[in-house]
Amino acid sequence: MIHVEQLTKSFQVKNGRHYVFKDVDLRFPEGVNIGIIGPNGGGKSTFLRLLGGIDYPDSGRIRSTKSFSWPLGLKGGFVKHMTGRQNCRMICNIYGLPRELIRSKLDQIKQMSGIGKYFEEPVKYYSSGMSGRLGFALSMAFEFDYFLIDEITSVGDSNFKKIAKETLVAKAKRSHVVMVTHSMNDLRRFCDVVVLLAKGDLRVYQDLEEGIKAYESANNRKKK
Amino acid sequence: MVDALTGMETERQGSVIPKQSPLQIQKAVIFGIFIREIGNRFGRYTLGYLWAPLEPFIYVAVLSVIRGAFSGAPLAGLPVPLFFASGVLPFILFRIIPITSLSCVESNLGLFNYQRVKPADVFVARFILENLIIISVSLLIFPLLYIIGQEFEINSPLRFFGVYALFLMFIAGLGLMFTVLGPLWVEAKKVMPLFFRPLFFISGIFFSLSSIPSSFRYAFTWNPVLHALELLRDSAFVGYDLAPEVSVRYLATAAVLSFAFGICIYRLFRIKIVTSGTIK
Repeated sequence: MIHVEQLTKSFQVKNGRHYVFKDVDLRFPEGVNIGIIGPNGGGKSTFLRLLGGIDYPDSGRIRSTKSFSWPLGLKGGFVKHMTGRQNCRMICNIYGLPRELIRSKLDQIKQMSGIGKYFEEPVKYYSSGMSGRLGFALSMAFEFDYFLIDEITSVGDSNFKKIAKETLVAKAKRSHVVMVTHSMNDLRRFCDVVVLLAKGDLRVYQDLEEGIKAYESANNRKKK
Repeated sequence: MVDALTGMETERQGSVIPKQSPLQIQKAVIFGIFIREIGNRFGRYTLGYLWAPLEPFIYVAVLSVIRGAFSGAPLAGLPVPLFFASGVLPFILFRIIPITSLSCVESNLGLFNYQRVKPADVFVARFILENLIIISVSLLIFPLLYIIGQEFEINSPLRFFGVYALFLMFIAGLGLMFTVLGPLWVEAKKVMPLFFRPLFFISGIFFSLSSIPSSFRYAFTWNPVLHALELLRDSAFVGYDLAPEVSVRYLATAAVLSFAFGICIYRLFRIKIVTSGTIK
């Protein structure tokens, strides 16, 4: 269960203050997969960061007894001058895995990321797709109640997409996802409810198709 | 367990992530970052780990040669290289911890992606690392000086560790303040080092307080670092000529104030310095 209570979040911008959320109240029931859609700058990634507990609201709070992964996106999370292996070992250390387990996890991560010999290279030589894949593979080595996925399933080649989706499906028994995506197919495949975020407005649709329709009609209106 | 600030219930363990107490988590995080900081500090240079002892070595050598050119006479009862070494080493610690703390947040933005990592963990990891560097360098330099004939006799180890602890407390408080200051005031990285440069000359690295005429000593005794260096020398070596103005109580007061202030500042700003959109 995830409770969002009176959530307000704003950013200081050059000309004043930009509100991403204003007094948002939300309540997600137990065990649903949540899809988040909306235009760029709508606050999708910010919402994931707030959920992940790595960013903080101006006021209000998010309550949950569940564990959340860190947001899996294309950006950040790795130390640039360290190799993929060193980075993964550090994160495993940070999450307190015993040393014997870490060794086997690292092989598992290397295999799943599919970045091959780049695993032994500093992350600064990675393409954004590669670091995204590594981040995804790394997080899948852990068990979280919710995986926070920031458009990661829409990057990478088809082979990786396939592996990523299979892994997520395999995890679905135990874990759920909160997923930011621009792919309506992914949304239909993984999510039970959809949250539409736009201009500080946040709407929950229990019915996927309804949400998708609302999003698309908003997009079309903008084009005209 | 509920996070006091966000109200988020932080029972964040899965079947693979071991359930840990907050203390265990912090230890794991600090350990992880510590390993990373070792690479960060030395990994990029060709000579790598050699750079750690090199800086103080060069200081001591250059200063001793310059001083030796004037006169080889002992300084305040200590051989010249020993005097400089025992001044430069603690001063390097005093300078490097606050200065590097300024970038604790900025240079680890990627790591704050993981809920467990907080700026204080980065600070503690760096604090431990810098201490280990200085301690191992000292364990190299002083026996070396002894071997090449700069003989000394150890005075009071217990008092030495007491003074060292106070000195560390003083530095830790400053470091925590600078950890907060760095992200809140971008120019700090340019400005703050300027304050440490003059301190290098008035903290008793080149002179002992006892060599200053009594009527001028007040110009130096406001500086807690001077007290620390004098006390460290006096407790480490027999025969040091300690000026009566040097006071443990003064150092202790400065240490407690600095530490308390640092902790409070950090506590107040710990959320703000990692929150997006409020700064920068």
